[in-house]
Amino acid sequence: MEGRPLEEAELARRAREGDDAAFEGLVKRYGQIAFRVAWLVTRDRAEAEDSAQEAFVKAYYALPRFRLDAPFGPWLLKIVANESRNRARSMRRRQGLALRTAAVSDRDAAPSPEAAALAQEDREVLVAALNRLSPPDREVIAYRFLLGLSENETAEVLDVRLGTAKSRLSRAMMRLRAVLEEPA
Amino acid sequence: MSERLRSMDDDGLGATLSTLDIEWPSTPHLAATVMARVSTQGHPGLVRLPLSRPKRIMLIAAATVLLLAGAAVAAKIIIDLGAVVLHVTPNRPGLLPTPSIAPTGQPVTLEEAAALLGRDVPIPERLGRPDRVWADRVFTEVGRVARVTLAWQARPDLPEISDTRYGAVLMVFEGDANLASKAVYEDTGVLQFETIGGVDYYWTRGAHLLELLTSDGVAFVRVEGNVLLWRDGRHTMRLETLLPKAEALRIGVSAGTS
Repeated sequence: MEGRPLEEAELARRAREGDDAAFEGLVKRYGQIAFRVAWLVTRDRAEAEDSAQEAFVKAYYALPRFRLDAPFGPWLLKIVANESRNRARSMRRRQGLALRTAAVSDRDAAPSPEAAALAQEDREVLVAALNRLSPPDREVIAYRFLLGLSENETAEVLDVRLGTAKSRLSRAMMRLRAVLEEPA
Repeated sequence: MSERLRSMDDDGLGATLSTLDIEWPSTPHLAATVMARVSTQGHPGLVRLPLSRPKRIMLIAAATVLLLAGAAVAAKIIIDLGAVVLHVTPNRPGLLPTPSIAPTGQPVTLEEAAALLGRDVPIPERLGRPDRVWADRVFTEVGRVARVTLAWQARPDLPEISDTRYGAVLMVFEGDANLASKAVYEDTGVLQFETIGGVDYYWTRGAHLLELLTSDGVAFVRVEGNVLLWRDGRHTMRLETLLPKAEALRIGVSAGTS
């Protein structure tokens, strides 16, 4: 398989056996989503960077306890979310997290048909509604839909049972609808 | 709100949210800084703890004992119960710490302990209300997790465990992060397994070493009592007494399940 990227499970196995290059591969693979999870929790870029970095270091030292029959991503993101929550609690002030839609030039050259179909006005209405939600509601929606985590992964990151994650998401969607119905 | 958004069900709205192009802050280059830090701090297994100097010296001394034991015999069987891992090794090392009760944390009420655990504190009906309750919060890779310890004074039906004043000690560990590791020695100890009411119980007898992660670092404790281990949902239970297996099992079962 020379020349092809290693599968995640193989990287995790090698990393656990002490292969630092394999762990570096995992950091590169999960760096972006780890940072975004940390940003959603801390609402601060610098804190998010520190949280993500610290979480990767903790994950490295916890590798002997990582179960190889489990997926690496949710295990790592749970560590990231916990580290970020701990930091967020100790921050004196947290900025309000304001999501924004990307500028047109930042988007893919060829957006998906669904994205293309969504009018710019609708995008702005949706993002404005997300910004008016409470942080916990926005967090669960962001994990599930903006970061594309599965329901199981969302539950792991929130550190709750699957059923609890589902009901939180359902309530958050209900409140999102209510906000969408309100006058801007 | 547009008619298009209004007409969507939750699935449709979710799918639409998934297509939003959010302006995320630029991702920092984490790999270089992370790898620089781990290469400086060493490989997994070398745990650095923020301990006072006397505690660090005790820890190093105890770790030396463990390393000597580990060098002589490798674990033949490992049973991972979540918070507690059992290592079965062929021979008992020549040197164990003096018997003591494991570090327990701070005294708390049963209500405070329940809040920490996120469940009712499991109190075995056969023992009644505990005489002492403590709790500790231990930092792990998945955040802080709770360990609650209940103790019952020694009494005629509950013989004292090695000068501890207590006849029964029940530890309740939250979650799956490994907080304790115990070695059982084939030559001097006993490990037996029972399933009652769908719950697997592990029974160990014989002096052994318990390695316990606490909020102050790692503690190494020589355990003289008999120990019963089992899982209840997200919690791992560890009951120490001098009672025989059958009575310990009756106590364990009387704690019920969550």
